[in-house]
Amino acid sequence: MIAFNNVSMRYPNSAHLFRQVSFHIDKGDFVLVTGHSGVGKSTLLKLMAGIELPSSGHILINEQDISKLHPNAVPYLRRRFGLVFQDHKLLYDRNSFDNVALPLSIQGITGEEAARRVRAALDKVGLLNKEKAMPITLSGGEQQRLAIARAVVSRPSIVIADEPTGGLDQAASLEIMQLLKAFNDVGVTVVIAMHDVAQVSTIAYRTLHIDQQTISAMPAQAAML
Amino acid sequence: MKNWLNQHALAIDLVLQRLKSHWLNTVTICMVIGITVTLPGLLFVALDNLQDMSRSIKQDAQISAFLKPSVNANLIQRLINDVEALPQVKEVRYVPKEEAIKQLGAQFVQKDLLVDLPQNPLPDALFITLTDTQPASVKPVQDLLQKRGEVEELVIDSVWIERLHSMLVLGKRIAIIFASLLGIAMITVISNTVRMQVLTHEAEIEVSRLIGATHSFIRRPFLYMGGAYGLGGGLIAVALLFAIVWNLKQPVQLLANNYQSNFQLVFHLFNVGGLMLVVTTTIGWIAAFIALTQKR
Repeated sequence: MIAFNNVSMRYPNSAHLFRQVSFHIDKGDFVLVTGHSGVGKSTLLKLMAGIELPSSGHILINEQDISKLHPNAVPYLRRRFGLVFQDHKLLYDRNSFDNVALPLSIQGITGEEAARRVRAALDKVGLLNKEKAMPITLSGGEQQRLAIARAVVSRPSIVIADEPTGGLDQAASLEIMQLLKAFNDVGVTVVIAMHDVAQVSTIAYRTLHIDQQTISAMPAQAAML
Repeated sequence: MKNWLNQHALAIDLVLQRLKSHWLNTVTICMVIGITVTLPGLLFVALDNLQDMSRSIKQDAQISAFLKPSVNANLIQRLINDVEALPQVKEVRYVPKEEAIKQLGAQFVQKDLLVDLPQNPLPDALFITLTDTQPASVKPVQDLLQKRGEVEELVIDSVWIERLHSMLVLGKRIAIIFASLLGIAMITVISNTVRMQVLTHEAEIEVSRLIGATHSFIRRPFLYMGGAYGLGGGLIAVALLFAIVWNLKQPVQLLANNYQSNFQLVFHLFNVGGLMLVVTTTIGWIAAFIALTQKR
């Protein structure tokens, strides 16, 4: 589903984040990207979503090399992903319903069909009763759940979450992780960047650990129940 | 196709919501544009009316050919036939010198004033009305009469209209220059406003890009916004022009009546007004496009 072949990445005027890294993520995987702060976890996710392009190497999404995509095709690639950001990136001048409806609007889905899908997504994350609420009135955990609803409303095959539990307490963090796992259970591939794997002790996962410009793929960890 | 139309409908809806939510700002910008457009618009309306007036006057224009005293009746008849043969000529009226002196005498209170004259000083004359009195049509008639030896003096009544026509051409050119300068001002105003809107919605743009919005999707509401400002300003300008013309109509008519003219000040709402709306909307769109191009 996602394959990195000899990918190197460096930003202009800075050192390499990765050198010649290769790994693959299969359909339905639940993958954690771990490593210290500033090691390149977010950059790795951005590379997967086509937000950044590698300095060299090939990234294949469903056998399609995203480095060779025409710039006009990149937005359509991004629609295959559900993105969740650490800072939520919610629109604070719109209510919960309109925030979740944004990806559908981008795809030209409006009216009853959009309303039905938005309410289904809000229901999945437990915010159906807050569809009229402005994001600023929601707690940190609720805002992140709202961001997840926005990520899944267009039924993506891959959800990429960058530190989705950052700034949340343990209970809220666990709630978010269980929510993401629930999507994984119905076949959605989930890739999460996080530094504290203790929060996922109850979930079976694979790990991609970034350290010293290399990425080591760890075997699946069983859930500790 | 349905999705594409949905996206356009969505962009229009979004623009209308934004315009409504900042209605005071919207009205202010549209007023600025409207007043800016009204000034050259007024000039165009004035020129349009003058042109209408010159057209109506031209239809009554005549060429007067005063004949030499030595020309006999046969030569006069031949000349009349030759002139009447020209396609540009509608009517030729021959006034012999005897009739001319009678007409002149009739204008005096003392009818016997001209009796003491040793001889009739007036010439025989031809008054030629043309079917089409555009300068290009006057010329063949003028050339024919000037070449003929029977004609002593030629008076073309449309000369001053030609001068008016030249002045109208000059006036139009000045109006275009004036309108172009104000158009640049309008582009600057709308462009800056749209740029401010882009900055205000930067978070939304960033999120939309990240989750798969195309450039067109992101730019579309701003382009519509520019067009809407232009259209709003254009509507205000048309309304102002309509009000100004309506206000001036009666005094202008009174003035025209004093000069025995039935001239009426008019504002061609569908022609001039419609054109103004198209132009201002297009300028608004272009201004937004420039703002978005600079932003990228």
